[in-house]
Amino acid sequence: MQRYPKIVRRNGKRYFFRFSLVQRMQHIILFTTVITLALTGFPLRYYNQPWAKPLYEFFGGIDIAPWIHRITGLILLALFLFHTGYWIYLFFKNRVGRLIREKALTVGNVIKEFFSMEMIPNKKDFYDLIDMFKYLLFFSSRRPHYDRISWKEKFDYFAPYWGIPILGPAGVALWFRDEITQYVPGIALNAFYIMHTDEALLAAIFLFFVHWYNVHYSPEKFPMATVFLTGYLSEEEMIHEHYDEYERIMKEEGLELEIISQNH
Amino acid sequence: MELIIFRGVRNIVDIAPPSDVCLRNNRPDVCAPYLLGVLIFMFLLVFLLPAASVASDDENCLMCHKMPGLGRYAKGENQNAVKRILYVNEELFKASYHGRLRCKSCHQGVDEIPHTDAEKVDCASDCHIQDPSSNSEFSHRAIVHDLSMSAHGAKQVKNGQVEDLPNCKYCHSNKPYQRSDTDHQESMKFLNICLQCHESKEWAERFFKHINYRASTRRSSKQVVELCGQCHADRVMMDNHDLDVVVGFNDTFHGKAIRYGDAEVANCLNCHAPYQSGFSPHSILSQRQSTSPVSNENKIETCRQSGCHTEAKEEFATSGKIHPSSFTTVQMMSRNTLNRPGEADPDSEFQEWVLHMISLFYKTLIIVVVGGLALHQILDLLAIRRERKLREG
Repeated sequence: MQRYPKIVRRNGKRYFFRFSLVQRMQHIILFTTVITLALTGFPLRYYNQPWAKPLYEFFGGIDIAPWIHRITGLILLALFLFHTGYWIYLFFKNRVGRLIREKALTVGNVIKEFFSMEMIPNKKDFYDLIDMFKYLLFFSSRRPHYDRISWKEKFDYFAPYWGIPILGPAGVALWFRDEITQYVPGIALNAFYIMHTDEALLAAIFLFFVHWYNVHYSPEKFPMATVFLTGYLSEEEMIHEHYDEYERIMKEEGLELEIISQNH
Repeated sequence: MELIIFRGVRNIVDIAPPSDVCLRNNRPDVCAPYLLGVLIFMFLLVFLLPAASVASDDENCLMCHKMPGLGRYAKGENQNAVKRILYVNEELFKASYHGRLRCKSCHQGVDEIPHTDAEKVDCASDCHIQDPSSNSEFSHRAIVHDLSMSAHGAKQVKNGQVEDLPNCKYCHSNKPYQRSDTDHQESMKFLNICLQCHESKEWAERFFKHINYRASTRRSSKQVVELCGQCHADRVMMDNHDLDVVVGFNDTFHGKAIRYGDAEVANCLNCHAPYQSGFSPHSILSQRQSTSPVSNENKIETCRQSGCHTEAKEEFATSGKIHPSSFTTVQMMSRNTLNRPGEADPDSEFQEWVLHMISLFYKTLIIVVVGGLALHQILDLLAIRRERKLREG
């Protein structure tokens, strides 16, 4: 983590560190595989739509597209496993390691550390959510001051993190439909089918409408938020979206006097 | 009697405007003068043309029936006139399956003119052509018998609606086999191998074509599904016969693969009459009969046939049917096959309930999550406008 300065300056503007290279790589693999999976999967679910056949033909038709879908799915599953290993590694390296150094390694402390991880939803997210709707519904004129990861971003994160463990195994079961009946009744194949396609629909709607709104269509981001490429967020975006973290980092870097208020 | 309808006829009908108008409107009163004219013209032609113009036609049927436009209106259903085209294109007829037969082999009677004594064509009659395997007269009698014993036979119909049953012509419309021109050219090259031993080219070609055509698939999977669906997807007709209407096949992976042009995937016949296991489309049985390939006892073996779900375990097939009759969210299974329509089966009802609940869970989740966040987005857009106004104003 030392390799990434918290704040960099370009053309007299401050940029705040957000995603490391490994994280950005994971995101790129995630969205290329998910888009490919959606494009090779939905023509099967919506086979009678006019766009379905041309799209499927583009991916090689019934002989090739299923294989693209399966191999891409395996890559996504591998990414899921890598990511799980990745955060467990970071958790042990940064947090459990610190507990060991401080000689405070107890089960209670480990659980406490686990729930204080930045991705885990917490009480503040709940109040932020309420504050956000208060602000949106004119009950308050102040945007909630989000910390490093807002509740919206946790939604974005847990959508795939909950979706892949359902989509992946269900997809593999439908792939090896003959062999799987050694372990599960045939009816389970029907359940897998519903789970695979409905979960995929949920994920697709979520990603292409909700997530893409947040990072592409929104008037504040249009045409595209660049943080997924650069790993850094502009000062303006930090003030708008992660004010708590902004204040904290500015203080840490000794820039307290230069903190800009949110309602400038 | 309706003769074999060829493409050529359509073209001829299309270019003749008065006949086109009358045929399309299906109005005998408009057509009658036109057709009468044609008949008189042909009557005169008979005397003008030398009768020996068709050498192989020793029954002399083509003397009249070669006339394009020869046809009449017959009374059809609901007093509507039905167009009967009586023209036979000799070239196409000779190239068809029955091109070597005499007309009277099938059209028995027809000794008088006009043919008031014509009998209905019966495919079970003797063809007066020798079967080289037995030296006896060839006949489709065995097949007709199989059909009568099958689920499509008159004996199986309990409420007497035999007119719904498919006859031979319903499926065997005698259209040319599907094949591309390049396939044809390739196979004709193969014919040269036959000709190295067999001297008569005409004989060898006929024999070769016979074998070659019998070995190729007549209908594509898509066409098979369409053909069976003409009746089995017709809700009213299926209700009349106390059968399930097949609405869900296109939603299954089999149906989808067929739609995307997969030639290998199972169509109706691969499960209901799997030729690998010795079944024939002519002897399709009800799934409730124990000897049917889709009965509860035999189903798994049908799934396991070579090239399909060879590794499937018993459980693979026991959970229900491949294509549902009413439940479109459940794509692969429905109730137990031993039950009659409308009869309850607690096991499958529970399974359906579980699947329905999973489906409902996802529907709710999609609506709540996406709806909630969409609402958030709309409000967010309004908030951005509000802030901008505040800043500017």
